[in-house]
Amino acid sequence: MIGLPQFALFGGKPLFAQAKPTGNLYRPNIERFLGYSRLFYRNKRYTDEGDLCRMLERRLAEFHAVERVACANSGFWGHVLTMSALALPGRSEIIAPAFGYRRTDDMIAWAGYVPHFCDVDPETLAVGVNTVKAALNERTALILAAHPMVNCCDAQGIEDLGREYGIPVVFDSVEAAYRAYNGRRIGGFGDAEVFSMHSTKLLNAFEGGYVTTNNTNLAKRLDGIKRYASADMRAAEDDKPLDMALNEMHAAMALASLDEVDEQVVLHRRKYDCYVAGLLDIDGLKIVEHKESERPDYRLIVVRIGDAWPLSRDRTLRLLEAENILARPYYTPLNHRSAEYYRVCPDLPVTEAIFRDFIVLPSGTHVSEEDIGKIIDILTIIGLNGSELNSCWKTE
Amino acid sequence: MTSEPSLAMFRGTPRFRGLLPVGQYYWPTWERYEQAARDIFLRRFYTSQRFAGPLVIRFQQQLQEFLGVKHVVAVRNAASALMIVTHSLGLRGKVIVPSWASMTTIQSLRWSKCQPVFCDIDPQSQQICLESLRQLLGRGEIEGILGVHLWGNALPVRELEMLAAQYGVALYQDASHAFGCRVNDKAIGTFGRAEAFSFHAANILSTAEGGCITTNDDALAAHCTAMRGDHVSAQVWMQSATARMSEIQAAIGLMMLDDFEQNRERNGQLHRSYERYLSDIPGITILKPSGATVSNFQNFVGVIDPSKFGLTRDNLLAVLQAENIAAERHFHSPGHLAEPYPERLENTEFAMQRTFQLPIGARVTIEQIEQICEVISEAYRHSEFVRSVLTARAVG
Repeated sequence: MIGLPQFALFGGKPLFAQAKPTGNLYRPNIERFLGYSRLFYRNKRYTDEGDLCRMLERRLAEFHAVERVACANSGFWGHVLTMSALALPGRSEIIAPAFGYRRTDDMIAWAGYVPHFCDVDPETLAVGVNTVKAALNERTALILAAHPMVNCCDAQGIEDLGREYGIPVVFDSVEAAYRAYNGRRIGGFGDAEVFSMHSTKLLNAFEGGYVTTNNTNLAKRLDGIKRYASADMRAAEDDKPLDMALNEMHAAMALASLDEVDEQVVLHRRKYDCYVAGLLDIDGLKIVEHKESERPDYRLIVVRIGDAWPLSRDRTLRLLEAENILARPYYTPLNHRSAEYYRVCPDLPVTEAIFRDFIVLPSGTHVSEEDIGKIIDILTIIGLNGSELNSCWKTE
Repeated sequence: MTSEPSLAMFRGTPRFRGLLPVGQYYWPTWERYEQAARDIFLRRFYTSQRFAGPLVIRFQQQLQEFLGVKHVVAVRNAASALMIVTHSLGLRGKVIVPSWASMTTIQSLRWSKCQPVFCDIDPQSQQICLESLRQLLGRGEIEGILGVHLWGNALPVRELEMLAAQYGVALYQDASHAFGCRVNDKAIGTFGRAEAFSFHAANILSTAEGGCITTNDDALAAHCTAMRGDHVSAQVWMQSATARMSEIQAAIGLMMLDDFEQNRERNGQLHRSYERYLSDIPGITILKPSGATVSNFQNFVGVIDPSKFGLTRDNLLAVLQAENIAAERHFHSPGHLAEPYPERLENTEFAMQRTFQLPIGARVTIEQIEQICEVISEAYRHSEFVRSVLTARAVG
């Protein structure tokens, strides 16, 4: 291996002593978190959607410019409850992209429906009007449209499509909390949108999620479904109650994170700029640009691997992981995994053609601008030593 | 004995300024909470990502030691614990559950695609009625039994285990009320195939919202952990139920576990105070500890005989609520009455009309209990007057 730098995968010392993740892990000011916590210490209400939860719902409704917000203990269960409340009765399928969140089909299964996978648009990497249309049929109960990691799907087009066919539309907007589409804030499209506040997301609530909607009746129903146990609440006749309330500690954390969200985006912007500048000179790697017009949070760094890149995606990821750079594939198509329940898995030519081309590089609070410099350097070295590295694999 | 009743329902001024809640609500002091929060912020480990966090792991280990059980899987709430166990046991059909149970317990079966078959209770202990259970098992087609340890007491676990073995069905328990209870030398948490605890703030061990699954079965524990939604690359086919416990929830749980014995003793003192003040009032029977040789005394439950007390349970609740005493019925409606169900369950319906709970836990003192009992005593002495006023109000 003369001339080849000592990669950790082949016995060298890892570049980073501490792992560099892709998750945000945002740490708000502790005093702010403690300040909110004092409120629930004062009224001694620790859960069952107390004052902090209500405050968070009001603040998030302002943030997304929507009528109502319903908190949940996770984005996952927020999704399940929303789908279960909105899906058309007497129909069995929910359309969702296979190239998306790795538990999308599980959420649909818990809601009691059959996932029907659809393809993505090669430009946005997300569902589009045509890909959804191709999956529509007389069994379709709901469309679950997911925004991609970078930029937006055609939210307006899909909202219009749902209206045209009379099918409810829910957006999986977990990665799109800060964004806007056609000048409208994400949160107000479709019948409802669902967000996660897991610590790897833009807003860190330790764990948590919420649903945004302009449909006040839906918000009331969600309250009844979640808070059936409280004296003043009842689930509507046909709704299936399920206790998935957000506790007050998690609400306090969410409020502290929300207070600092604009400052956070400024920091992400600087790191994103470092990546853009650094990747410009690397043949075969191209960053997926955040569109200024869509009010990006600049948080996620998605890179497209081109023909000029000498290594496969998986080899690249293995090399990086050994260096403690926890880069990962953009999604793995859901129809590639097996499941315990029935799913409709048609051919998805675009997904199949592109899914190996994208990786996500480390970003967020644990990654400094200096770290990004080192990541760019090692990517540059990998790019320049591609054939030697590939031969190492052959002799391995 | 005064001739003029001093009850708030006549005078208009409640005896207590703040509401005395039913529910435990033990919680760490501010200083301990602040320290725990600062530690978590320093570690920047907020919740499990690829694997469970250090506090969740420690909490699970300490629970394992405390309960004498091989595996504890900590989860975000009680509903998740029950749904994960039901699913992991492979139950998809008819499961017997007492109708005298919380909606969370019964709904956990519906969300897991099981059909609840309602069982009656024993009139004295209010625990599952073995005779009723035997009859239902005899009809066949039963896949499992979901027992419920009620009121800080225990189910007849030995008999249940024998019945389950005899009929070859899976036995598991909702142990929400029974953390720290023991039957002879064994803790609740070690019986049946698995048990599910709730760490909702109303229970003796609180994580604000939360719960855990306990089992001695290695494979079942692994299945439950994978469903919880930690990094599960080895088992990608598993249906996720996303129910990770956050680090701050675990931090509260660890502190409450340290305080457990102290809180249990306090509950015992409060329990004995009620017994002392209420024992001479005709028509009030205190639900005696049953099944458990060690109780956590987390619930104080009475049964009213209107013919001797002079008032119905709901009359008494109205008197107490006017004093700001949040006495409760606990279960809004037994499971079999919340839906069209073909059978009557006599003991359950009897309990439903006559059972009440009084405040016990962190938010009530012995002096306040003396006052609560005075209210009950006064309601008894003036029962005719109270009844006439309530009737007039109902008509008016």
